Amino acid sequence: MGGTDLPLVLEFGGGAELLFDNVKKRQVTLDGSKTWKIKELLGWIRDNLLRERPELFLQNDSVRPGILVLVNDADWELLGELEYELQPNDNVLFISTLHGG
Amino acid sequence: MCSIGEDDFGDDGGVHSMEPKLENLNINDASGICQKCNTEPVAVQLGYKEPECKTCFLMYVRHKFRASLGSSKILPKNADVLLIFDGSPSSVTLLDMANFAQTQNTFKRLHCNLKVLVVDDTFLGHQEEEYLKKVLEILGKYDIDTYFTSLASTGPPIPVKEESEEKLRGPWVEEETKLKTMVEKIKTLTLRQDFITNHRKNIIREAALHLNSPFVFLSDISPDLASVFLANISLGRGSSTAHDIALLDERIDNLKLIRPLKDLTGAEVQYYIQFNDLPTVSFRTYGETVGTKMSSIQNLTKSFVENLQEKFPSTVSTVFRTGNKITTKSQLQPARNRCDEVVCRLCRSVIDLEESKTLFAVEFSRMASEFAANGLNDMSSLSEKARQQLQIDNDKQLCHACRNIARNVSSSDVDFESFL
Repeated sequence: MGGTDLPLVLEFGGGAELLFDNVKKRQVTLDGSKTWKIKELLGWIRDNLLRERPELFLQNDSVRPGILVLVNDADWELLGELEYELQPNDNVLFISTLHGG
Repeated sequence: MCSIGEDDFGDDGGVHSMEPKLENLNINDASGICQKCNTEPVAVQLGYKEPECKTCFLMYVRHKFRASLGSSKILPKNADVLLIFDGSPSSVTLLDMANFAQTQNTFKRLHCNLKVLVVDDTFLGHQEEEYLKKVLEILGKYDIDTYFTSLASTGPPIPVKEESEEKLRGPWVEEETKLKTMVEKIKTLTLRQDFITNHRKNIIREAALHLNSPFVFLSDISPDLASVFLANISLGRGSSTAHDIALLDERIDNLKLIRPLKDLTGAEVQYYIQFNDLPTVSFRTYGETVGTKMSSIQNLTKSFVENLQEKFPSTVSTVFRTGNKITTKSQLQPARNRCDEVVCRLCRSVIDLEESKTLFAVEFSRMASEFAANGLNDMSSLSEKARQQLQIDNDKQLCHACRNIARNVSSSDVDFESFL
């Protein structure tokens, strides 16, 4: 607890939530004793949250093209994409643009 | 003499002067401040554009909407506009943009009288639970006159004030059952979807005429239109596809269907929704819920375009821009020649089938198969019969694609004609 936790808010929208039990927003707490990059977060999501058809969310260690990723309301492309180092209380949002844009 | 490796340049020759200055080319490596306004931190990067902050992004997409209307000069001042709303991200975006444009200062304001119409198709059973409730909730947040009609409606739309959902849906229960039965009697999902799309447009047109709105805003965005374009060609709607994807569809006199968001991409819509924190509803089309990706031409085309778009991001714009260049024959003719045109009773596009050899061949081969299936051997009268059938079909005033729908209603107890 305390200093060794990394609390994050994960959000899924635009149809991406359908792959995650239809839950749009969830609080998660990661092990804060090590640094987490988005790359590792995606692996964690795949192992712990993704319920069905991982190929609709992930492709070659990254998210599938057509899924937007926003960290604290900023496009992840501006933050280094997979290499961005997550900070406590970051809000990470995944939106699929393929369903009903 | 001019040669590389001259003494002036030292050991590495002229190489150092030829290297591009990479640090200037890397747009991501900026100070993190938006280069347009130089004040706010960047928030979004679209394709090859420079990164922008939220404010500049919103200004950019709103400008796209405004420019599509402004540059085409379709909308006269203080026009009556009916906006079709279904709760999907693109329709929420359209409503919000139109509403925003009306609140601007005089110079930039969109001068029009906006009304909103909801076309209820929940009775077909493909929308999620509470869909309608959520749609009406979103509309409740805007101070705009809202009207309600059903895909099976036969009368004027009902104004939504404090009416309950049951009361709104009340008047058309019988018609809705009839329409649902009819749709289910159409043999294939492809034709069902095609019928619903065209029938929906007719309901919208009727509602617009009832409400005295000569202009209608539709919320189609570029990926939708790209797949509609390709699907239309496969459905045999090539001659009218220009109307279905262009900014303006004026198939009916005195009524203009406008698609002001036609240049927006899915990503732009999603960012707009996100940055304005707008609520949306998951809107499903009939084909998406009832069938799989493979079960109809429309679904298949849509997934084909989406797949290509993922790997080659210019796909949608290429398809879409190509489609944009197509015009119908009637659009090229001077208006005075248009009065004697025959118009399809379902999709309202001009029928230009006179003496079509292709259609004759199709009809001939259909008849030949029918003959063979029934064990008949007398092929001599076939071509005469095919010609007669074509004439009967022509008298029905349906275009080639709509004829296909009519022919594939599998039961004689439902009256397809009554829905035209």
